[in-house]
Amino acid sequence: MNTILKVFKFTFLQEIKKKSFIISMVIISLIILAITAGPSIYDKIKGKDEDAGEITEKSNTIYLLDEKESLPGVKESLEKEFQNSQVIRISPQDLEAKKAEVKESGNIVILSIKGGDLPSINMYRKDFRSGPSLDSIQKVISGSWAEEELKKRDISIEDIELSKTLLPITPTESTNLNPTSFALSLVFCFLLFFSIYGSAIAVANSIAMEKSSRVMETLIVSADPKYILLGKVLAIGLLGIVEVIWFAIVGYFGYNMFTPKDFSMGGTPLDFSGITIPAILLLLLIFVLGYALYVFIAAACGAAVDKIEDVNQAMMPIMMVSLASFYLSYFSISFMVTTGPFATAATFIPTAAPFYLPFMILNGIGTKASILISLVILLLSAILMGYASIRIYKAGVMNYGKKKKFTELFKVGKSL
Amino acid sequence: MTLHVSNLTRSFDGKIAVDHISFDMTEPGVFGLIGTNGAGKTTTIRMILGILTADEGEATWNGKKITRESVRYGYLPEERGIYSKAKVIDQILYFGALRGMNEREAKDQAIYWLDRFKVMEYKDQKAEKLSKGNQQKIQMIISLINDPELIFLDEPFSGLDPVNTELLSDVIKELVARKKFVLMNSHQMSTIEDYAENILILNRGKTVLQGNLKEIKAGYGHTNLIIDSGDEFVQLAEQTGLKLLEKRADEAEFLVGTEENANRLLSAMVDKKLKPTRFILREPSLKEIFIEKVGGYEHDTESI
Repeated sequence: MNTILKVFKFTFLQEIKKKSFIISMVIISLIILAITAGPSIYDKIKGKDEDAGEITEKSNTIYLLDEKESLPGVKESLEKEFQNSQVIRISPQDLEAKKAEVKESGNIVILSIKGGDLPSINMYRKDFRSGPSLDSIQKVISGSWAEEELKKRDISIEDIELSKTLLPITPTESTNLNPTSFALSLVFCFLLFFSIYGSAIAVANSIAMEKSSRVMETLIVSADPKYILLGKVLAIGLLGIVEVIWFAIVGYFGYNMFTPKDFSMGGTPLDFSGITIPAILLLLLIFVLGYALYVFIAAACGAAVDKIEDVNQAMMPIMMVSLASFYLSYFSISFMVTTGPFATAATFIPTAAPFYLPFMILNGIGTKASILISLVILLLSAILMGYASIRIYKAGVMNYGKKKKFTELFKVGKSL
Repeated sequence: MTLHVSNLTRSFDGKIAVDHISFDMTEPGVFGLIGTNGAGKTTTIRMILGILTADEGEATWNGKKITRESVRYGYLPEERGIYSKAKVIDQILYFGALRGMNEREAKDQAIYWLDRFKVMEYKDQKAEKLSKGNQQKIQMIISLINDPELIFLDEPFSGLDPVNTELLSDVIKELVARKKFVLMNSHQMSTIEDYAENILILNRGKTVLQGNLKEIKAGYGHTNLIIDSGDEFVQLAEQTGLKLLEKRADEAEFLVGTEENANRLLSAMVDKKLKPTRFILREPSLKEIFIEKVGGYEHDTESI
């Protein structure tokens, strides 16, 4: 234990003093501050634009061609629905000239209404991203048409308005899924992946450096290789935790300093109710277990190569597995997949679980049992990988020249 | 105190690298392990230290298996390596701590050896800024930091300039004076000859000669004769049947085989009224013994 602490202390102090570590901490902190300041900056820019006048405010243009005046109230309906758009009626002669404008700008669309018993709408736009969505246009014009039709059937204005009444609805959800928790899940998915994978690369490089610089031989006559490995893993793990905690502090500071108090996401105020002390402790546990799993795999890779340049090649299969696991979790979170085979895979595959479990915990998804089983699988995988890694490390650190397979190193490591 | 090595054997991929090597080191001093490149010297040391497992045999210190815990040993590996990005003093103290020293002891030892090796001015610098020779001295300090009783030096002089070679020589003499057991590995015969009382010559993993160096040399007798390098002396020696080994600027060395042959040359010189300024009979050098043993062995094995 004493030896582990000595290796831990030396490795931690060496790693934390590295320029690359300090620079990446500064850059990522600045990015976090910029993100927290984003809403204020956006508001200021928006405010300036508002001061610039009505033309800027109504930044989009909808040209309306209703040749037969079949829907007299449609212009007002469109203006009411799309308040940042100016709606201008055009004549059939203008159509070709306006089409040319549409080709040039993504902020201009033409709505051409062909009259008849059942009018049809043709929408000209630059590409699928231009102007309001098809659904919203369809909804507004259909509503306008329905209103005209009801009027023709002598339905009173009061009845028509009554038919448009929206009944109040209050959602009561079984999960905590809200925009804040959802966004935080994505942030944690990224943060944990980069932190865990970055730490794994750091451990592999550190071991390969000790091998390639030949300091390893001096090292292993001074201390038991398993203690060296464990001390190194703990040191770089703590460094990862320091990173994550530091980024959380910077985020908290930035949020309190720069983010407007009334800031909302998609119309919903920020809600941090999912971030409880047990949730934070669970996130920390997930980081530790995920980190242990990935770092022990990386340590075996670092011990198996002679030169630091070969680390990337040795890590390639691990990189493929980690990327696949990360994307499985990332897309499952992005598309809010909470059940089915993808969610099950992201929950129980140990390489993916560290990136998906925060989503489950912060949003109250899945049962406690499934989270517990996932954590147990992760723990067992980390222990097994740690055992295999120590054996491979013991055999690999003094193996130079002819490359040996992991299975051969594993066998040799047993006798050391 | 005894270093006892018994039947150490190790193969790599079916090829025997070290074949049943045995020796004892019972007195403080320097034991020389000699051999050509690839003879198995480093593998032998690694097996003694437990870095490599032996297929057969064992190494003990005072009857106990050599481990990090059972023996306070120091090791200078052949492949030099230190942490290039770490400060010199930090890594010396780190290795001291790993070898069970407290911070005060490690600092005292570090200061002593930094001063002794004349590298005190570099203690707060990163190792990568030091010259190769100075890095080697730092590694030597690391191997001596825990005041080891048993010291393994694998090619300690390789890469050192004459000034640092002299400095390291003095340190080795100091270690011997402090009753340390030093096992030194080299293919440079002159360095071993300067320090080692006992030697073991390895060739292709096998022991071809071992024992006390003085006794080995004495066993050969006075086989070499050094005389003036003038043509009249050289021609006369050759006419007497002596074999010229080397002709240098002011002297020539002959293989005489026995002292009688040398005496015949001396008589011939007297007869011819030649007056040599030097006439030195000596034992063969370690290098000559080594070449005789290893060269002959190679010839034998190649013919099998």
